[in-house]
Amino acid sequence: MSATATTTPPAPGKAPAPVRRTLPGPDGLVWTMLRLHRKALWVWTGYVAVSAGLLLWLWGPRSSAVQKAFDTFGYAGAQDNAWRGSFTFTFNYLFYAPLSWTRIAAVALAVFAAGPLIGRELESGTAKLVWTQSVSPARWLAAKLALPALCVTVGTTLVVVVYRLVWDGRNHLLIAGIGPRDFAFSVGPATVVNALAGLALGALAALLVRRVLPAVTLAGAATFLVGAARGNSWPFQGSYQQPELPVHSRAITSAGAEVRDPGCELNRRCLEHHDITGFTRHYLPSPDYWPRQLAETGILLALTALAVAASFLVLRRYGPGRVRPTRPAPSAPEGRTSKEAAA
Amino acid sequence: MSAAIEAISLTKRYGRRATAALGDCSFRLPAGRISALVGPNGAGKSTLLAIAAGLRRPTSGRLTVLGGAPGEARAKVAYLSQDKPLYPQLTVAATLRLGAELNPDRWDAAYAADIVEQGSLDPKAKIRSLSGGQRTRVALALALGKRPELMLLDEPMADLDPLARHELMGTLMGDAAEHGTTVLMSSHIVSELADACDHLLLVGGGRIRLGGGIDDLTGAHSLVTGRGDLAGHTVVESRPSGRGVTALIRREGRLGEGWQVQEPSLEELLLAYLRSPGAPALLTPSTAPATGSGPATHRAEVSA
Repeated sequence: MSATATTTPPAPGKAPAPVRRTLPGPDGLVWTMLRLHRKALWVWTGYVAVSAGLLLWLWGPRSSAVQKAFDTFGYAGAQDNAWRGSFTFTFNYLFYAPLSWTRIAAVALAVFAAGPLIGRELESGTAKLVWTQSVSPARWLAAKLALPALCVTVGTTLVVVVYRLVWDGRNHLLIAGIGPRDFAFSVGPATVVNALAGLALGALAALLVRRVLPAVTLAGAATFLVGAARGNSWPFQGSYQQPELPVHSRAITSAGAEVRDPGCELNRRCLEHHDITGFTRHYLPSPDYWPRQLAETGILLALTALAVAASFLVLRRYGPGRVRPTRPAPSAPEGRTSKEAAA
Repeated sequence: MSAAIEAISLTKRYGRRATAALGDCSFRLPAGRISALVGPNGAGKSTLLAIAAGLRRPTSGRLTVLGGAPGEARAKVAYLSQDKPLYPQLTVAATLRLGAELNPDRWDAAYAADIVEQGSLDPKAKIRSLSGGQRTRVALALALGKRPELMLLDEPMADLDPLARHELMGTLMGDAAEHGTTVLMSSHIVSELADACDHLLLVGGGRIRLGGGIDDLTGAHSLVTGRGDLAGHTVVESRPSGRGVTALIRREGRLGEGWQVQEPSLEELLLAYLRSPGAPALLTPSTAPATGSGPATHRAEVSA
């Protein structure tokens, strides 16, 4: 019934409205989101690019020296490389940087959602500006959550996939211990959902508190605690450590046979004596990985869903909600039908 | 005549505070009126406008806007809140573009641009660099550009200079007259209201104390000076003056001898009611809500 075609003139009596619509999007919300949060989008793109770039660099040029040491001396060579020189710029150290960044990113996303994305709009009243255009609060919140969630999912998934590829190709160059275990069990689908949970918790905090500073504090703290629980760094999680990773580590003789590493350390003569010409080492897939990942992913997804549902419930206090009609509906108010059709 | 807004026992409490911002507020605003919403500070004007705009939930009672629940016809309702929020990081042009994007079916870009140009605003200027009055102009352009059927304006002109106020008020009223827009506008500047509005809602103590066409309301009251008996009339306010009294009364029949009778101005009427919070309420028939479930109001569609 409503003439929503783009080119037909609006209802009679109204001046023709030359409207430039660039992007498809319900009520132009996509354009609005991109325009208002341009900087945030750039920052996020930058983060993803830097993470992926660093990983690719580690996978390529940065690992050649360690690889050489490993080929010559085996695991001892990789260890020596990690301990040599400036510790902070070794392959072993840099490899874990993007992992820390994903943890920081989850908290940063919570802060972003509780602050600039939603909290600031509620505090400064600009949300009201949007709600009194042709956009209902629920659609506004849906756009506010969906678009960042899309960017977060795409970006974090990209980082996770690149990360796992680099891990698969280069994990023999890492020093054994808590590092590889921590990495192996925490990077996966749960990393993506953890970031989404941050976003949802930030939105909920903003809607509950409605002031930027407390909302940001609350959301940041909550998301940090969620991350800490994932990282097993809470005291009550003492018994819940990541299991040992199975590793395949052998030395290779000139005949091509895989033998036990003779433990020569950096002693070339010892290696010659044992006729060792190369090494092979890699972590085997742990049978514990998927159960743990899926459990974490499930819990975090549930948390995210709860936070989102709660956000929409809290939002109802602004809108008139579905006011139960106290008397038979009056002759079909046309505003409702066209609205519903658009939704 | 159809109702643009109809409230029945509308109540809004903030938190668990004892006093309600609106308590059992009932009225009807006929479509096509330009109505002033007047009342002392804290009377519930802003609350009423925010509920009508679909931004707040009433605690109880019911309010219909253009025949539906508030917020169901967002596209047809413009709202300008007292603090006139705008995105400070956007330019004027981007703010108008926002209006176009968020009102895809109704936006009148040329009209909105006109309003901004009249204030000689640079479209490339950031909102944060504008003065309060300039921001008001942009906010008004955003409200008018969507060609609303109902405008809810909360102190729209408070921070405009007299010239801009006069000119924008002219734009607003001319537009409202031309398109039959209903306007509900809160303000404290009575002289401005008297010129621009043809309808009045006086809020006090969370309910409507006076409602109706301004001429009907002033016509129903008399400002009388003299001595004698005012029994039978509703005395809104009475003050000693000379040897007699000056009183603002609601006539219920003929006045006795010995009274000098004048029709009060809108300002006199308002001041008398504001000074006498206990005076009984008066709603003209077109402003009284259709009570209960009776089919009293016929709901002709507002021209689509």
